[in-house]
Amino acid sequence: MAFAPTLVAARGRAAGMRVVCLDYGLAQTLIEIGSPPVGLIDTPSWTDWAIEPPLPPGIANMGSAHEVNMELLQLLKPDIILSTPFLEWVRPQLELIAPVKSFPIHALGSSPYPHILTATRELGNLLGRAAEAEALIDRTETELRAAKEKARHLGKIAVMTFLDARNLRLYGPGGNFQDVLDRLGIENAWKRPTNEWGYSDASMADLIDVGDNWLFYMDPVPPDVIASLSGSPLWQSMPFVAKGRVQRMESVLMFGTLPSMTRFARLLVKAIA
Amino acid sequence: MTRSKFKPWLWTLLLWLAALIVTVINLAPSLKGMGFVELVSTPSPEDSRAVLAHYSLLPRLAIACISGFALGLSGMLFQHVLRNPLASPSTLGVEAGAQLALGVAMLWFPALLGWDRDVTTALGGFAAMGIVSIVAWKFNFQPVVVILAGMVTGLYCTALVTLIVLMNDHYLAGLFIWGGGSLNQNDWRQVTSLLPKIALSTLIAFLLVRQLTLLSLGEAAQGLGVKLQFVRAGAFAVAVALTTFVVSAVGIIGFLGLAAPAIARAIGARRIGDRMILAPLIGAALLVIIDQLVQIYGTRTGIALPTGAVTALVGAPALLILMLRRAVPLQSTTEGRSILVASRHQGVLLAILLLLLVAAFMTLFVGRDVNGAWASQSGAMLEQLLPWRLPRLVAATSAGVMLALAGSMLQRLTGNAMASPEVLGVSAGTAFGLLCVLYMATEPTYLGRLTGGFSGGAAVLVLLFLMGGNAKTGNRFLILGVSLGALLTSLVSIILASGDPRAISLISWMAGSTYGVNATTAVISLAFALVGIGGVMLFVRPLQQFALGEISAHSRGVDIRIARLMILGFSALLTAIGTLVVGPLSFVGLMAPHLAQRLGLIRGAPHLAGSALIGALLMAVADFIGRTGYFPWQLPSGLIATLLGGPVFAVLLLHSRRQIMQH
Repeated sequence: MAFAPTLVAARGRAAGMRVVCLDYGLAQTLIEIGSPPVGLIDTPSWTDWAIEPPLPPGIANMGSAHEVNMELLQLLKPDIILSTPFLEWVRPQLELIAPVKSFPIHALGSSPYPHILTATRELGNLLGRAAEAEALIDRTETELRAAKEKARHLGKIAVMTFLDARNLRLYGPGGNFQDVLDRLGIENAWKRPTNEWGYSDASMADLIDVGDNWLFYMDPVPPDVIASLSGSPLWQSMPFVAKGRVQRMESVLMFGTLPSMTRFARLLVKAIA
Repeated sequence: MTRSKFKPWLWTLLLWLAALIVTVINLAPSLKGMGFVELVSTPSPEDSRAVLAHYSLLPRLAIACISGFALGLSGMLFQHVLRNPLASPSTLGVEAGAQLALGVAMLWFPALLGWDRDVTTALGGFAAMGIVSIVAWKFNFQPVVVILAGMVTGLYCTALVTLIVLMNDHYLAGLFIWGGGSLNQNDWRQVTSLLPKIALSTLIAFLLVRQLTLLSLGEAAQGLGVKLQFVRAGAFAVAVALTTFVVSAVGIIGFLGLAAPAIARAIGARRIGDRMILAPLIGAALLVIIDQLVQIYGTRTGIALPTGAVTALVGAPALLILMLRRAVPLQSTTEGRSILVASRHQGVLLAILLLLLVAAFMTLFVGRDVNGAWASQSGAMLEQLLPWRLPRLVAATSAGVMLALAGSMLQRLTGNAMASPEVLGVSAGTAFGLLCVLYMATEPTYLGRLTGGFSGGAAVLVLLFLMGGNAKTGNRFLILGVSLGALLTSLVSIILASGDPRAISLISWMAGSTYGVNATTAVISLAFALVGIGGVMLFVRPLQQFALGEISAHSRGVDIRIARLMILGFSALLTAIGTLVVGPLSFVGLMAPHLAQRLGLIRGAPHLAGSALIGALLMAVADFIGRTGYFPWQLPSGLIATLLGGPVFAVLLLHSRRQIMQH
């Protein structure tokens, strides 16, 4: 297996490779470097979660990431299958169909950014699109630098998702969003420890920590939450609410790659504009 | 005598003291320096400590008290009315029904949820209870039938919840939290809306106590007629209402409704009047203790555990220890032996076999093409696809055979209609073992998973032996199984609520996905299924005698201990291997033997063979539907088997009732 990637890379340069991708984040990069997959998991939900870049037409839906449709995979005859360490347990079955390349990015107990850069370059080499991969990295750097200028006056911010009206998820170190905040030179107002995926679970009372800094809550928001917020004395007594520093934000893929990072930065800047 | 009369009250008082101490430890740092008036009056928004205390810490304490009280009372009522120590909101399917309603609303009717979350969950809870009640009504609230119907309804709802979670894993993180039971509070709104409902229900419940005392006289009181049935139904409705109120407010608080009354009984509360007061008080104290501990843990580590799941995690072993230490006088679940018409065995068996062959044929040769259109494949194409279809089919049907045989044997052995590997906790034990392996080893092999799974199943078996040594009835077995099941569910809830994406693979296996099956696994499963069929025939005679009752078995010269040991061991082995393939939740082991019986295959070899064939048939059909029904998504076979088997089960149950009436 050690030499397989180089073999595949050689073939990839020769002709357009048929790639099946079992991860949204990797698919984002594939589309950006101009070699979209022939098959991707759960294509209908792309517009709800990843959104960017738009999915090109004609990509086969492979079903759920947790139970890829093996028959369909077999019928698609891919040259390579791109995966994450979380699907290692079915690698033997996948390898019966095509070579598998797995990219560890998230839940490594450290910032995902360097791993995203490595994966982007490796994907470029693998698919004969090294130049496009470098261009994507440069483009991301440029966009993030531009966003940094615009976000200068923002001060500290916190980013969260409502699981329901009483249970929240706040993002911090170890996650993709923290990487963007670091790039933009923004301090995270949420200081509590996060899990290896880069977030911590919290109750509404915990939001007192955010103080009068900006709070962004991300889509999707459960339908009964907004109504209950206006009637909640606890929410209303939060300093950031009193100062009007609360803002809803469109969804960004939490376990994404470079396109997710630029999207997050852009939405952040747009939200306060 | 007076000492033993006061002992349960003393224990309850001690429990409350413990609750008080834990609460003080947790709240003292946050409340230091605040006066009583300060705490109850509306704080100024600038005073963040007062805001936190007034809108979060205190209402959370209050909601824990109220919820624990209500669930304790609800469980007490259920158990008393149904005269069944296994009755509880979880075992009657109320909680699962409510959860299903919430999940459905989240995905397809967000407007309903936006209007009123409580109404949504209450609808689900009452609907589930309605279904159980209809069946129970037809059977005169026969304890075994009620629990059976409740568990099957609950399973059905859980299966549907799992299915929609698997289809929409991104959306439903909130459902996990809710399923784990979170007591987080933002203000006093939930307390003020819950308190009057619970108070009123409690009042009605106590007004019914006198009549309930009559009920505990048992069947002899049946002569009192319609009025008694009316009171029974009333108490039943109050119990359902109590549960639904709590469930819609804070989610599923696992196990409390089962544990609180059991603990009340275990510490010596005998009179129903005492238990009606003690069970709710114990429930409240337990929930307060656990919730405060969860908060302390959360402050120290930053990890917010779902209180409801932790309740089950703590409550299940506690109950087990109590049961092991004391000989608890359980009211026996009266065996609902219905008169069944024996059919011509060969004809029925042949028909099932034929159906099985048709299902297997469909599974192997029919599928979908790249564009999702139906197609029958042959030639080179089929050659490519068979390596995916054949192992799955073989493994799934083998697992069906093994679980059905294990269920058949256990039902005969314990003489209890509800025994099965799933209900006895052997499946849950296997799942535990597997969980340990999955989280300890980075890349667990099949052998590793098999070893882990088997050790887990065997551990439960050892526990069964320890308890079974002096147990006369199968009730202790059932309590053990239900406890282990609750423990497993709570553990999974905690893992799910932690947001670990590995958890989704876990539920997909738990749901009975044959995704991980390869040729080796399939061959191993098939081999054991064949060994199972061969082996079980050796036990036909002793099993037959067990079914007639243990005393009879003994008198006919069967050494009970050795026969039981061998049958239990064999069942555990079959369960472990079957569970590794289709997960712990398929309940094929519970359904297949019952289906065989309802089809007229009542005793001996035809019953065992019929169970095995039905198990295989259920799984073969489930495999086909799972693979093609919602293409390209793959639905887990175990889950589909539950969804298929549930209605068939219900129809046969109601049909057999008509047969009884004709006699």
